[in-house]
Amino acid sequence: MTSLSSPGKLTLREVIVLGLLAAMMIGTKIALAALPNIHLGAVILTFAVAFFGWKALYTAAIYILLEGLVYGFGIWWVSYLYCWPLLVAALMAVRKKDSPLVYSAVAAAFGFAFGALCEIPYLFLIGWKASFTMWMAGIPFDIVHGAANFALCALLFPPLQKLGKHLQPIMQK
Amino acid sequence: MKKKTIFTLLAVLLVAAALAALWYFGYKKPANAAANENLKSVTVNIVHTDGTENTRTFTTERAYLSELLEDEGLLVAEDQGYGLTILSLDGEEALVENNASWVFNVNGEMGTSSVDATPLADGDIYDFSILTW
Repeated sequence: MTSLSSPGKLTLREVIVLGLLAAMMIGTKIALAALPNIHLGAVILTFAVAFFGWKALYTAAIYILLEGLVYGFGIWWVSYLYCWPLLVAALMAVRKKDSPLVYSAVAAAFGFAFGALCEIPYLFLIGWKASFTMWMAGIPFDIVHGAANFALCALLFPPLQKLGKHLQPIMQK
Repeated sequence: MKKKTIFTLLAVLLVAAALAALWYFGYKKPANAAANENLKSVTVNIVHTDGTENTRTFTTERAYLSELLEDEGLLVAEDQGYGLTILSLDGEEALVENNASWVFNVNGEMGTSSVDATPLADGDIYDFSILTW
């Protein structure tokens, strides 16, 4: 497992790269907006976790803030506060395996579960029956989300892994 | 392809299929059934003064007879204070000032309310004709 992260506090290079990764998450999401629930958010965050460990939480935090600034701080945004850190935690749990396949499986599970996770704030606002119906109605989007996450991660993570290894000498100068 | 890859791919497909089944049987099918409950099939038979008949069967979600006839472009009516009064039906005018009026039966019985107060029920037959005096 190659790490681009320095122990302890963030270095200037890490601040730049982690920030750029968050910008890429929102940028690619907007670019792919025509394709519902198909985006590179999970792939990019997987790269951040694989090479920066828990510091990927900074990328997740910046991305969450940018989502709110671009689309507005609605109730859905509250769910982002725990959904994306949860993905970081899940990816950290399998980080030692350093396997594109395992990362892809985690990204797929995240996509499949995303709709259900996002319903938690609505449970308190509209009750379990209405939020359960909302989740059920959105299942086709969750299926697309999970399948796309799996395919994109399986396809794009191996070249990103190579890129990370090339970046290592630059990051640790 | 490695065994692990095949296993993971199958697991992803299985979860996707389970979610699809849950969506179809838990949401889509009941939603379709609920929508179909509101559908009614009714027959409208219009007898003109020259003896010609226009008989059509409609499937509709509309609640009242006037809504269906207006949707189909058959009805011209105005509210004269007692519910909608039919001025023209299927292109034929019948005006009270000319001693003529469109009247209708519901399942063979004379209609007791105006078209906008006659609820549509599945299987109903509405026969329209012109009454003169």
